[in-house]
Formats: sequence, structure tokens, C-alpha cells
Amino acid sequence: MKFFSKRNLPKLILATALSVSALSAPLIVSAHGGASGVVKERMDLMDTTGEAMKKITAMFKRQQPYNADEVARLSALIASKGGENLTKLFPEHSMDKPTEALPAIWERWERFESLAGQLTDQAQVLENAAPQMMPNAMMSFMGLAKTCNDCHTEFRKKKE
Amino acid sequence: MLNKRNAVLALIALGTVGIVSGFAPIPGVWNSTETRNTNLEGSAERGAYVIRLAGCIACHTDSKNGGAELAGGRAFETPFGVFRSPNITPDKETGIGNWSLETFSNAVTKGLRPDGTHYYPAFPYTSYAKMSDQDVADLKSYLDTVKPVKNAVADHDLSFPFSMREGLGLWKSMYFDDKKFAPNPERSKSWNRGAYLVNGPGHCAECHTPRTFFGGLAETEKFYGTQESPEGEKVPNITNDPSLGIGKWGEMDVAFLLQMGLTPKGDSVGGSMGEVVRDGTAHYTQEDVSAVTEYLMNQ
Repeated sequence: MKFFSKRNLPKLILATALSVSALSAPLIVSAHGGASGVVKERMDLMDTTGEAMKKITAMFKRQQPYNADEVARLSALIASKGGENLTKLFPEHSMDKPTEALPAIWERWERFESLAGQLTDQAQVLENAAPQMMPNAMMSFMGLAKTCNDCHTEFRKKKE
Repeated sequence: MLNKRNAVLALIALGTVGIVSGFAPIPGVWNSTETRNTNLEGSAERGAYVIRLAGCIACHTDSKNGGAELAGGRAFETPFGVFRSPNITPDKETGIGNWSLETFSNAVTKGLRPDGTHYYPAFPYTSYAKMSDQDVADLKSYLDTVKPVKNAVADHDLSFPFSMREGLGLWKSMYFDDKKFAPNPERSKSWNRGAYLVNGPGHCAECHTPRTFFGGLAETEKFYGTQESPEGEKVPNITNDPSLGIGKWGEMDVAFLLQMGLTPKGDSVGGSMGEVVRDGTAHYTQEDVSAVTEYLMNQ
């Protein structure tokens, strides 16, 4: 009996479908190139804050109309992702691939904690300053963006 | 470009150069072509800004190990070996407390050590040579006001033949012209200010221009970026080419990157450029950021 016969066609379709789904399952999990567990959680957190920053940035660059309520909402979202909510996703030795975290995080934990706290503080300052775009909100935004850069400079792997 | 293969080839080639010049030192193989005025009155207040323009703090501070600002000791691992930045606080024994303005100017603009031997170009004097005498004097005045820190920094730990400082005279004769910055009269004042900042104190080319076989800047590929910097980092193209460089960036994109380290994609730049921003360009005045942008977008 030939396997590729008409009679076997439904089985073949089913087998193909199962194979495809089995193969694609890891692809779905690997939205972050194979990240899982706490590494994936923190990468997702970074994505959320990054997206919020991108939207706020577009308004300060005047690529989008300035919307104070939206800036306040996004700032509050960023604030909620800082502090302990961020540091708890960095248990010691959590260096599974594809993490971009540097061991310096645990070597200088206090500094890392302080910057994570600063992220929340600065985002809250921006939330409160949002109604007045210039100069208050812009100044607060600069402080927030610099905090992101400081932390990524010290604790994220360099681009290779 | 300085990838590993080229580094090995350069090692062999430089070995020949090092041996030739090492065993038979050629006196005066590199000659300065500029006269510097070292009788100027420096201003510490202006110097506090010049140190930001020149980005001295990032390299001369071992922040990773909690080192004091400007007290040196930061290690740079490269294919040539480990370089360590010197202490530039005014401590008389381990820093530059005994230096005159002339000694300082010779170091910054001519790459000469107090004893007349050469600095390695890991210290970007190849760019700093374009700095004005006034900026150099101001920088020295500011450094004189910094708190002296006793910190004896170990020597560089370089592999042979790079460990032979004698070979640097020849290198400088090939790659180092210490002419000051000359403004282009056909361009605006702010464009010229940007050109001065980018090519002089800002020393952007040191990372953003690929290096030749012997480690000199490939001037025909200025700002093309590199796939692998000496520290193993990818460095982007910052020409105004619309597809390869930053030609499609808006003025705000450049400004936000320099002032806050934000890339057009909304990410933080991080890495070595993150340090450049944190310790240098984030402190630039609005006018200087605009000048740098004008220059970069209209090279």
C-alpha cells in the first residue's frame, strides 16, 4: 500500500499539521530568540517599557501630536515596571541565553537596585509633569531617558 | 578593519616595523608640524565644559571597580593586549600634578610623554591635535582644580611587538599629522563648530572610522563604522548616507541620541556610546548639539 494514496490523504494532512505545529511550537516560545522563564519575563518587561518610551519619544520629537494624558498614562506604565518589579526578575546567576544581562548586575547589585528605583521615580516625575510639555515634561523625559541609558550602559551587553 | 584575522596579520607586519625601529631607533622619525601657544591663561570654568567635549572622564575613570573620577586604571582589552588609562588628577606622584601647560599640551596634541617618548594612539591625540590652544589651556586649568587622588596605575600589558614603544615614532610618521583644526570658510559658523567638535575634542572618528592594517584611521572610509572595534563591539556608520549611515535621521534623532542616548528605534544606545553620552555629549550645550548635527548631516 502506498503511503501517499488517496485513502491515506487525511492521515497525511493530519501528520503534516501535527508536524508543523510541533515544529512551530518552539518558534512561538522563542519570540525572544529562545528565551524562557525569568529571562523571557524580563525581556518582555523591557519590550513593554521600550514600546512606551518609543511612543513618548515620538511626541517629544514632534513626530506625533503631544498628548499629555497619553504621556501620563505611558509614564505610569513605565513607573510600574521599575523598582522591585524589575529587580525581582534578576535572580542571581540568571544568565540563560539569550540574555543580554551582564554579571555586573550582581557584582554591583546596590547600583542596579538604585537605577531600577530611579526608573520608577523619574517616570513618576514625568507623569506629574506631563500637562506642561515645555519645559517641564521635556526635562523630566530627558532625566528618564538618561536613566535608561545609564543602566543599559553599565549592565547590558555591548552590541556585537 | 581590525578583525581577528587582520589583527594577526598586523601583528606580523608590525613585528617587522617594531624590530626595525626597535633595534635601530630612528631619532626624530616623527616631527611635529605645528607650533602651540602654551602661554595662554586657562579658565577652569570653561575647562569644566571642555572635559565634557573631549570625553576624558569615561576612559580615565575605572568606574567598574569603583575608581575615583579621572584617577585612571581602567583596563581596555584589545587584540594588542591590555591598555590602562593613566591617572590625570593633579596628584604630584601618581597623577599629572607636576605638569606644566607645555607638558600637558605636548601630551594632548602631540602624543608625547613628559620624557619625550610616544604615547600609544589608544589615547586619541590623533584627534585632540585639532583642539585649539585655548581649549587645551582651559582643560589643564580645570584638571588643576580636581581633587588629587593617589593611584599608581600599572603599565600597559601588551604583547610583543606592540610592547615596544620605540615603534610608535614610525607609526606616528605614517598616521599622525598634528595640524590644528582649520575652518572651512565656505561653510557656516555652526557647521565649522560641529566639524571642530566631531573631529577634535569629540574624537568620533577614533571609533567610527575603520582602521587600516597598521591601526591607523582609514581616512577614505571616514565614519563608515566597523563590524568589530578593538573592544569587540559593532560600531555604526555615521556618514550621511541614507541607507548605510544616518542620512535619513532627522535633526531630533541625532540630538536625542547625543543628549539622552535614545536611538531612533526608542532603545538606549548603551555600550561604549552609552558612556560617551553619559560622560560627554549629554552635557553639550544645545548650540553644540545643533552644530554637531549640522556637520554630521552635511559632511
